[in-house]
Amino acid sequence: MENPSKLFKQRLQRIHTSVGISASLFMYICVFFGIFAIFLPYIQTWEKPSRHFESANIKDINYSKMIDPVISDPTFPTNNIIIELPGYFSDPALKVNHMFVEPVVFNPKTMERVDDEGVNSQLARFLNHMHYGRPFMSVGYFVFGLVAVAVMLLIIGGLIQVYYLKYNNNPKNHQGKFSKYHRKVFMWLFAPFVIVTLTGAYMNIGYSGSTLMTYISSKGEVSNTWQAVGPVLKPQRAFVQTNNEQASMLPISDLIKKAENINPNINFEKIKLINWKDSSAQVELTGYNPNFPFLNGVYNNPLIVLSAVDGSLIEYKKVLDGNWTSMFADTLYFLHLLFGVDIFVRTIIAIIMAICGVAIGFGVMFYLEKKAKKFDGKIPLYHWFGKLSLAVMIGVIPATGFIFLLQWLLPFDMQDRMFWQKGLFFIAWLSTLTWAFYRVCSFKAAKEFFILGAILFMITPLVHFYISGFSPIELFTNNMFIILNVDITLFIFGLLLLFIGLKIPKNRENFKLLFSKKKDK
Amino acid sequence: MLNSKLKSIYKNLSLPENNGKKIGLFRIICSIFGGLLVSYLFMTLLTFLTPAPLGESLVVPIYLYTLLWAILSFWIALSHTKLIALKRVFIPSLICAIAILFFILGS
Repeated sequence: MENPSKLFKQRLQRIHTSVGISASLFMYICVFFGIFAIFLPYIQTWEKPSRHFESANIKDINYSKMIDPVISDPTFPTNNIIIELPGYFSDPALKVNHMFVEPVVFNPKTMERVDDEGVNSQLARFLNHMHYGRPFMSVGYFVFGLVAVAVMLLIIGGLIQVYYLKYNNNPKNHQGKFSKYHRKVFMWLFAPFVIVTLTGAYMNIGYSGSTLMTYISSKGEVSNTWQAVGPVLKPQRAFVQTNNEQASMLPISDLIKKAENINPNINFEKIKLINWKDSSAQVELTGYNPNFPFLNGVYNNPLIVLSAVDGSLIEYKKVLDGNWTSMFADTLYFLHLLFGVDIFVRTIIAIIMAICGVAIGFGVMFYLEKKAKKFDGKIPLYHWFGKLSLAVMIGVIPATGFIFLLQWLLPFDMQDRMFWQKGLFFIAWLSTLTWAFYRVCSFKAAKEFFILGAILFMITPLVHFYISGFSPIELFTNNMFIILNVDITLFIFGLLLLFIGLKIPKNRENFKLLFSKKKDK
Repeated sequence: MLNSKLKSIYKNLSLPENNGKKIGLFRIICSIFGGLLVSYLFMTLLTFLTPAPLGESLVVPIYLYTLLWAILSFWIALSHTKLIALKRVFIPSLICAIAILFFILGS
């Protein structure tokens, strides 16, 4: 019989290893595509030829010239029309939306209608879906949700391990280095990571699994969670009665200026037109207040309601006027959804998540090195999990580069364009799997994947310049900075991959040297 | 006969394993499903205990029960013997279930 403390320590490690290896690849996929999802607004603008125009200031736009023809159309509904202002999710276009009709999209500078690509261009959307398992339907949601729970277990378990077990912080060999990097990164970055996984678990399984809880706690009255929680998190305004008298409306740009006088800190994103052209007409402006990060953005948005007839203030809801539950939800969601957040915060979060992704990789390499050690010097180890991890973790890079390239290579009027694009992406990814299993030396395969990915990411901007017909100089002079920056970022990312690809040693012996201290001597 | 069988099961459960390098199906099932059961019941109980209307009292539990699930699963899987793992599942869930019943029937 062994003593309890030894058993406890063995279990601590064993649980972390087995759960970690089961969840690692899924978690890596979440993190990898999550980084693209962080930049979703910019990729969404970059991917569409219809968004290649100069951005405009929301205060100088003549809204009525664009909106009036749309809403005077007798087939278009007049109540609860939602106008998405230029800049909402970094989209330079102005969108007129209604629950029951197709959105109408305008170029606010030229005031012409724009042919939105609609379902034919959904690259950013697809990358976001890959982030939470949507392409695999409910199975994907469920598996990714369970993985998020497993990751929370891993983080808590890992912290307890660091507390209870003694680790060597000056390892001599590469294996110890992997363990050290894995440990150190998550000791520093576990806090944002756990919040992000918590909300991820909530969105994938927590919310849908809460039906029974709602049913029990409402004593059998309500079984739909949103029915109980919705009115608290996102209260609806009372229905506005129409007076059935025609009235002339103030220009929307004037109403935006009025709202800005009330609170100049809010970035307005959406305008809802209620009973438009009636004397009871109101406009509801919602936005994001960057002075209160962690408190607004998802549910708890500041709201200003003005009368569209004379511009008088009807209702003003500040960020801190919200219910505490909606602030609590927004605090948790903030780091995950980043709604309304600017490029700097997004970049910081993306870098943090990229480091976490690499740290997951170190964890997996640590496990594989332990396996390989047994055969060291006798035969090269060919482990199925190693090959699978290689294809999933590194093979995904050229596959993603390929889907970016396809975005501009495939003609936009192609039938079932998105189907082909997605299909070719999965085929590319699967072929990296076969290649990983074919190549005996994983380092060689990794090198090839990195260099292939680098080439794909680096030629994507060039293909984009050629096919969209905008040269980088034109993009610069026409103030299309978002598009130009996406191009530059893709190119730099490609260069980084090329650098890593060239740095990767050709075989295991050199690889060990890369991480050992003897190298310096 | 039955009594001695029960006794041998009890004895088997209360003996600690020889080493902790193998977790075993028993612990895996206890920790995954037991952890979910305990955290779900506890969070449901929390909605009754929170002095707020239904919508408000639900928000924190539905956001945090997955985190509690992870913590409890870990706690259950770490128990010294299988019997302790079982106790860690059933004692808290019984307490929570009785308390929930008390709240539902008592009002």
